[in-house]
Amino acid sequence: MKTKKINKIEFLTGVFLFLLSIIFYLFVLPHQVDDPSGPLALSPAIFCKVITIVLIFLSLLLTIFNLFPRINLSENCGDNGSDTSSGLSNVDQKKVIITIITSILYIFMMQCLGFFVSTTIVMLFLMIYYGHRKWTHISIVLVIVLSFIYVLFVLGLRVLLPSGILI
Amino acid sequence: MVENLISAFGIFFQLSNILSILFGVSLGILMGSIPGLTATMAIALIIPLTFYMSPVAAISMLVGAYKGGCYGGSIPAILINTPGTPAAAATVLDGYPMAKQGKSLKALKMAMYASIMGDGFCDIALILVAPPLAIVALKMGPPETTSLIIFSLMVITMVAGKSMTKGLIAAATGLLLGTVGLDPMLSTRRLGFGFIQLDEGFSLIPMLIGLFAVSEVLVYAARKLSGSKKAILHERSPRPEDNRVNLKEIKGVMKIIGMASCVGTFLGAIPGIGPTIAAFVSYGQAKKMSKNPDQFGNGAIEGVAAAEAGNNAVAGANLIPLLTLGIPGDIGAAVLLGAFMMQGLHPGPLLFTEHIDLIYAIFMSLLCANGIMFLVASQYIKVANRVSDVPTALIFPAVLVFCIIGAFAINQSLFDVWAALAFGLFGYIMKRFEFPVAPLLIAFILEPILERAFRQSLLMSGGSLDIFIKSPVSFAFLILTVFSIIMLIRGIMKKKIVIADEGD
Repeated sequence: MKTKKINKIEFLTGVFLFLLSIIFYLFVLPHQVDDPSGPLALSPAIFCKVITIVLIFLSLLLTIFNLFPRINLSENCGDNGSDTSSGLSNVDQKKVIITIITSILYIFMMQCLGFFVSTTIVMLFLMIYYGHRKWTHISIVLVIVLSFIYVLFVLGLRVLLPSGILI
Repeated sequence: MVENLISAFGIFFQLSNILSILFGVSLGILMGSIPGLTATMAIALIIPLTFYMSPVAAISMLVGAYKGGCYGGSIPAILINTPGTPAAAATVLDGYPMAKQGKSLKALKMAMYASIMGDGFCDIALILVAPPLAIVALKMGPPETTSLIIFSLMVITMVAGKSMTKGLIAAATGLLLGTVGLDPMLSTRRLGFGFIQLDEGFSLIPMLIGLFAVSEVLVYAARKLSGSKKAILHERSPRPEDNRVNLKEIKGVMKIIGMASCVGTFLGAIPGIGPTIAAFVSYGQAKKMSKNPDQFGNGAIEGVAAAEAGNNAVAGANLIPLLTLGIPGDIGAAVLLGAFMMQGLHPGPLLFTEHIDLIYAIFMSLLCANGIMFLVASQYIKVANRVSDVPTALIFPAVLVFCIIGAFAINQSLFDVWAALAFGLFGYIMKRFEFPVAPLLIAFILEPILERAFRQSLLMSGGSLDIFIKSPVSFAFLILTVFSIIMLIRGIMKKKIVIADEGD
């Protein structure tokens, strides 16, 4: 019979969530939710507390299930651990970070340069960064996307897009 | 009766009415197929146009947009793993795996057939049983609603991911996120962390865009092959059988479509439940009914059919409480209520006695909208399906831009854009650690109804939980929840034993 090893990532996820839920219950809820005296049902904190307790219990279950893999109630019972670890290892984290930074800069740029100019810059950068070098394709996509946004959002929906020193 | 029908024929069968439906359906499908734009937004956009129209033309156009929008959400769900509307979240589960297998056109066609059948079914139900069904639905009090939602969340969690514990954690997180904002009873601030924008809680659309679309862009970026020239969204199979739905397949899913239509119609008649929950409940039931439940989540055509029939059946059923009692079933129906009032019509029991010919004409427009939806959708999916031929390096930057503008357009607020980005990162982390995203979103949508019902029940019982057991309907839903969990655990245990035996 196959013996299952403890899945470290799943186990640590469980521990992390458990600690996070405890911190949330003890330190965040009392400061962020007013709890005036009165009937239990009227307390704004009651539902938050119930859900956080459920979350603590579930995180504990996740930890225990991965500490004792034989009782793991997971449908993916064939190879639960290896799936997650392989999913995490075969990843180009640099591209993810660059995409996130680009998105953040895009939001700032929208307010400085205007929506259409910043969209052109960001799309150009990402398309080239993701490996496409055909300028005709890039130009066609840019024209289609920008015209579509202009017609639908500016003319149709009358959305006031962020405008900076340019457009 | 016959006189009213003849009069209704006269009112409805005019070219302007048919053209209104055509315009409404086309715009609805287009809007629904763009992530971030919803059927509600399509209706809101059209309302000013309907001001100078006749009541039937106006309502027909709006109903067409509503139906088209509900269906349109399935197109990006299948093609780019991003539901166009929240209701299409269940379609992603099997639609996108089908597309990855090269069967995107098949999935799109099945979604179309199922949507139209679901729509047709609920329209007939609306016509035949509107008043009695609405009365039954209205008898659901807070304890029954609480138990129904708990049952629904349990079903969603079971079908959405590989691990039930992770699904439940995702659902609990969704409920917790739903509590952000002003308390529904005392209006005190909760979990706002000093942001005034959070007084009304997180907006649904930025959250939806972030969890499903932005996270998908990040997942794409994370792939080591993403920069390769050959990387396209998914291959399209050249085999004709992968690009069409044959009669045998339609016959095979008829039972599931029938079940999903019934579920959608029943849940749609209950105010507040909405198409998203109907889609997931239908999907869960279809998995139980299927001869190949293991296929679900890996590209089962039955999964696409169930989700789409379920969510579209809500569109017509939502009109049951709206027309008979003046209570809108969801946001889309609420906007429709506004449109009725703009036309000088007040939905409710009196509408059936004072304007019965108008009601029949609206029923005719509902049925006609299904035929028109078939004509428009069958052409539109051929164009939309070409999306998969475009290299992903060109698609994903465009998707990111549409995410940003979609999040911004709702309230014209940059806070929503930041929220979409934050939820995108959160969704990416969830996907990396194999937490299902769908239960989180559904729990978030249902949280306000669940919390209100739960606290009202406690108020009614003076703080005692007995109230959930004393009500027979509530008790039945709780028993069903426990039964579902037992069945699931039994199923998993059996599977484990088989796998263990194979390993020996």
